[in-house]
Amino acid sequence: MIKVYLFLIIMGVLGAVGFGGYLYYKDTQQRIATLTANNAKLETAIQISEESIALLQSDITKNAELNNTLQKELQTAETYGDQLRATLQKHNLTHLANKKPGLIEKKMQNATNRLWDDFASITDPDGVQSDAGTKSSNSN
Amino acid sequence: MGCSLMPEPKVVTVTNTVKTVVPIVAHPKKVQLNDVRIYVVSKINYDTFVKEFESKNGADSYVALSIKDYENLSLNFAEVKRYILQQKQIIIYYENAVSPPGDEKKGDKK
Repeated sequence: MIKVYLFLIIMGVLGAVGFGGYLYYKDTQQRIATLTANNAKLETAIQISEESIALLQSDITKNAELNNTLQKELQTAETYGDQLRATLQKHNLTHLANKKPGLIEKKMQNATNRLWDDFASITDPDGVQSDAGTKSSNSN
Repeated sequence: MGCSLMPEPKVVTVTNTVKTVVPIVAHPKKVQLNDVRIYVVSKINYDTFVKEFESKNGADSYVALSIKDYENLSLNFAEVKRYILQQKQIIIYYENAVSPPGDEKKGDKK
C-alpha cells in the first residue's frame, strides 16, 4: 500500500514538474516570438531613422548648393549696375554731348533700346539667359 | 527581458511621413515696353533739332533732361533691373527648394 502511495506521490511530483516545464517552455517560446517581432520592428525603425537622416543630409546638401547658386546669381545681378557706373564715371557725357550730340544720341538710343529688350528678356517666363543680365552690359 | 511572469512589451513603430506640397504657379508674362526716342541736343545741332522735331512731332514742346539726370535715370533703371533679376533668382531658389529631387530648374533661368 505504501508503495502505491509513494508511486502516486512520485508520479504527481513528476507530473507537476513536467506540466511546469511545459508551461515554461510555452511561455519562453511566446517570449522568443515577441522578442523576435520586436527586434524586427526595431530594425525597421532603425532603417527608417537612417533613411530619414540620409534624407535630411541630402536636403542640407541640396539647400547648401541652392544657396550657393543663389548667392552667385545675386552677385551677378549687380554686374550691370556696376559696369554702368564705371562707364558713366569713365566718360564725360556732358562734354561728349556738347561736342558730338549725334554720336551720343545714337549710342544712347541704342543703349536704351537694348535696355528695353533686356527688361523683356529677363521678365520672359520662358526665356533663358547665360547669366544674370550681364549680356547687355552696355545698355546705357 | 522582464520578469518571467510579465509578458514582454510589444514594440509599436508608427511611421508618419508628412510632405508639404507647394504648387508652383506660373510666372507673369513678360513686360511689353514701348519705344522711346531720345534726342541729344547741344548748340551744334539745336536749330536742326528744332526743325526736325517740329516737323516730326507737330509741336516744339518737349521734355528735357540734363546729361546728369539722364545718367541718374540710367542708374535708376539699372537698380530696377538688378531688383528684378535678384527677385527672380530668389523665386527660382524657392521653387527649387520645394521641388522634388531631380526636378530643379537651372539657376540661370530667368
